[in-house]
Amino acid sequence: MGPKFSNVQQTTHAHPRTNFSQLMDTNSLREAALQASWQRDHQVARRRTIWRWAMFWGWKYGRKFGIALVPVAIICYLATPLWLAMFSPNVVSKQIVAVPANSTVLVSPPVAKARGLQESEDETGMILVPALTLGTASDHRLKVLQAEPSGQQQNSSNQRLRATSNIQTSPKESSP
Amino acid sequence: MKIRTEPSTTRLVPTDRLSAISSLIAEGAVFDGSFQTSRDLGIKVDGTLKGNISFDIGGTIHIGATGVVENTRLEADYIFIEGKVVGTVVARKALEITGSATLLGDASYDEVMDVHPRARIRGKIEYRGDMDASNRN
Repeated sequence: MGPKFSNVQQTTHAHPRTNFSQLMDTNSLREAALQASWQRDHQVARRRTIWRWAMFWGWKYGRKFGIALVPVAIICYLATPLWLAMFSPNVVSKQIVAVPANSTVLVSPPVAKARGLQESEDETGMILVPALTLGTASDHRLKVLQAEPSGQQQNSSNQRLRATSNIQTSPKESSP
Repeated sequence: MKIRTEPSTTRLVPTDRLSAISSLIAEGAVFDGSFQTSRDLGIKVDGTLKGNISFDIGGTIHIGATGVVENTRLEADYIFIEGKVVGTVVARKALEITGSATLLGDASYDEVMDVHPRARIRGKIEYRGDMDASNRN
């Protein structure tokens, strides 16, 4: 007969013994549940706090500048169709090309290509505007390359280069 | 979306105590009854609780942003409120009320307290510590 340990209490377990691995899973489950709840808390609390701040500032300064905001709102309401019309696809788009003084440098327009313009690209892929590439500018000139999809001519007091489908331009220069 | 592995930013309530919370009332759940223990545990309420929560010693109570506790008396060492509480709050050490919290009732604390400017409180806030001790420091 083996040694007798009097301090050992033998009890019957009503529930099966829990394995250590199950405890680890329980802890992981607890942590996962907490993390999910923190994620939810962060979303809700942040939205609610931002809304409360917006209500606070709106109430504090809306009463002061509320009357001044009415004409601003009216102007924005009236200007919205005009603003949208400016950026509609049918409107003429403009490209501004700056030509330095006394330069014979080959000047290429900016990256955006004029819509409806028959392009002639050189080997490097730049768009060449013949009127700009030849000759020497005696002074600074700001030339506007206007692209017209429909090929219509437009007269303007500004300095412009008119590009047609044949790319034959006759620059219309006028001193600013 | 990055999973948040830390609780909400706290200034007074230790983060490890919030991480050690072992009891959770999930969002959408309704618990009608009281929660009481004499051990230093923690409880987080994301659902609805209609009853009291009391810790005889220690204790951490976290009312989540979606949590609603009604007709209650909360008593613990550390209390962190992000949701709605209707009742009495007694914090023996630290009480922290965030900007998303709503408290309809009285709150008292023994040591430190932090209230966010956008917190909504309708009630009395009382410092139960030694008023003379704070003046001596």
